[in-house]
Amino acid sequence: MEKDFEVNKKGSVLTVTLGNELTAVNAPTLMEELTPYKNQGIEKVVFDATNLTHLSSSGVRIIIYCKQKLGASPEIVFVNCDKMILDVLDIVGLRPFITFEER
Amino acid sequence: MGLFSNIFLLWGFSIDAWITIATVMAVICVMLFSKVRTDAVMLIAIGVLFAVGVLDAKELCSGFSAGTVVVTGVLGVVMAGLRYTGVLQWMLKHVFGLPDRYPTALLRMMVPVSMLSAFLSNTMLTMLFGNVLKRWSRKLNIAPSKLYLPMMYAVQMGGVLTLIGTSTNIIVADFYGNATGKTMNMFSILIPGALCLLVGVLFIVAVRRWLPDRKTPEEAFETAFDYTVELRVPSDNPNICKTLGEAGLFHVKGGNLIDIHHFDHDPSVLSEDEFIMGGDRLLYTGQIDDILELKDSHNLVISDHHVRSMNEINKNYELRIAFVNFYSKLIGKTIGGSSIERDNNMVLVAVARRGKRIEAAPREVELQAGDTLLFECPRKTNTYAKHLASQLQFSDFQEVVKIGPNAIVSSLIMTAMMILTAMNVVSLLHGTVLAALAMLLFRCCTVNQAMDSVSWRSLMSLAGSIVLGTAIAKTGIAQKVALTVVDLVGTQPVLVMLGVCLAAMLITQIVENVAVTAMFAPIMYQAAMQVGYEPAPFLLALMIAANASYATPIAASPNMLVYGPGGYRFTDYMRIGIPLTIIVTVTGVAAVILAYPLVKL
Repeated sequence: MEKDFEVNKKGSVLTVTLGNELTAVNAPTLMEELTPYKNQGIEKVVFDATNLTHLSSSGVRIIIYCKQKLGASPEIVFVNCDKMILDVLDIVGLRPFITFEER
Repeated sequence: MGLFSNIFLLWGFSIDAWITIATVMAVICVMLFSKVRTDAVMLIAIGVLFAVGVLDAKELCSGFSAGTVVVTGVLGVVMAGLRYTGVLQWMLKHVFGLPDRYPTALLRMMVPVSMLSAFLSNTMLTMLFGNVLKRWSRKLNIAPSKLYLPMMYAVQMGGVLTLIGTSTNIIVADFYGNATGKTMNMFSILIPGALCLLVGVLFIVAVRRWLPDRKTPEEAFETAFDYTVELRVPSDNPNICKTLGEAGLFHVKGGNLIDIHHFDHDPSVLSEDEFIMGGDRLLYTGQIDDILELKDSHNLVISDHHVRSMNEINKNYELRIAFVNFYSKLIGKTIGGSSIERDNNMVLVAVARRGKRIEAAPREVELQAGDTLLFECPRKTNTYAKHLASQLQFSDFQEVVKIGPNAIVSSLIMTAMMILTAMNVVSLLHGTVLAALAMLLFRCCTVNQAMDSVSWRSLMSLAGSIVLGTAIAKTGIAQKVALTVVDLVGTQPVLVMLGVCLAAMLITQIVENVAVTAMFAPIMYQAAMQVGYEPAPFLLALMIAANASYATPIAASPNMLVYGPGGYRFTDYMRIGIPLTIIVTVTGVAAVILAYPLVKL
């Protein structure tokens, strides 16, 4: 599958622009791209979810990875999050760990 | 005539006869290969025969107004009186004792059970005794599998001692009455039945080592590593975002984590580093108490599709063991795919099959008859509610009945009924109706208890069977089959009797004995008439043969009821059941001839 996300680092902020889905299909590739940023002083990870319509447990694993392993518990921000994605985050119990923004 | 001419004779059946034969074959096939209710099968079959004109309206209704059906239904009320005044429970408690040898235990159990079965419903007795036997086997330190089958055999053999002991006897007696205008006495079958019982009991005691020594199904939940438990991570669990290792959920006291499913069933690798998410289902195997402690220590819940938060868990639950019934709609399905948990507010904790754990997720296990299920249920769950009892048989049912003065009253009513009908002071129908009225009048049971004690399904299938029997007689099938039997075995009456009995005995191993009796009663009657003998002894022999359904778990309700609790396999029934069936049938025929010398018409 064609890479449908983008990862940019600006200072201590890592921005991940997501495509339509974050599932078992593309999550391992994203994980590979994120691993080099481990212990790089990341304080905030911003997920641009404007186009995101499908989030599976493999995608959730990425979010938890960012929170738990990327740095010293960086802030996780979701931008333009769809209601369906919010529901998934609710079920898996991640909502309290995430800041939501509309841009 | 030779064999070929007999076959040619079969082709001489009328269209109505062929339709009836096709219907009967369809009934047998549906009973064997589907889970459709017997009463429904019977009603559809007679509906078809009526619709195509084989039966007229009067014949169609004859089954429902038959004395057999009324007597069977009313006997349910009489039994309710005995049951709810505690007479049966008192007898069960005081006659078994604590014998120190296994053969003595078998005799102490089988003799009183068969005596009670002579007057009471086989199915209800099996249910009542099933619970008593479980506790008794623990006291005696004997595997329940060594007791349940003998108990079932005793119930079945005891049922043949009187006309009211089993509905098949009532069918035959009713048929005889209708065909000849004479009535059979309540104890007509006593001597042959008692001889069969004696031989049967002695045979079972003699071959007691053939009885399987099985681990009780409950042990599957008591022994380490013999079960699985599925726990769910609620969405507000504090361990979310931790790994299984960090949260202490990978290596747990008393068991192992064997699988993890996230909310969407996406593949996941079972490792210590796997992150925990809300909605995860963790499958453990090990000591049940230890694993269930994780509920409190790690804020997990028993896996259930509708539970989202710990706050929703009601603490007033208890663990109950149930077995999958033989005709349960759950067979071939998973609990997860059914609504039984949601409908009854209970949660499946673990599954075992023949005393061994099933390692897969309990709710994903495709169920088989006899599977043992461990449920977490509200304490007040009515496991005898019809919608639940038709699917699952709960083993830990305990009926608490206070024994009071009414126990004496109900015993007197029952005794009076037996004496009056035995002495032909009143007919069987009058006797049972009067006894039922007396039970209600003296408040031995409430009207609701009485109505609940009547098995309406059994009555419907009984009525349907009788109508089917009418069709077999009316269309000439019975006469032609009887002629064929006579041609095959000759006119020697004993051989004719034995031939029909063996045929009935074979079919009753796979088809419910009520249906077999209704089909074979007209055939046996016609066979007796063909050789020119008084039909009563022939029909008495049929009673014994049609009831000798010991060789398979599907042959009769009592057989099914002990299958799960005894932890049996299908072949366990055959080991003793096949020789016992043959011995009882042959003894029955011999005993009938001895007790009732055959008389030429």
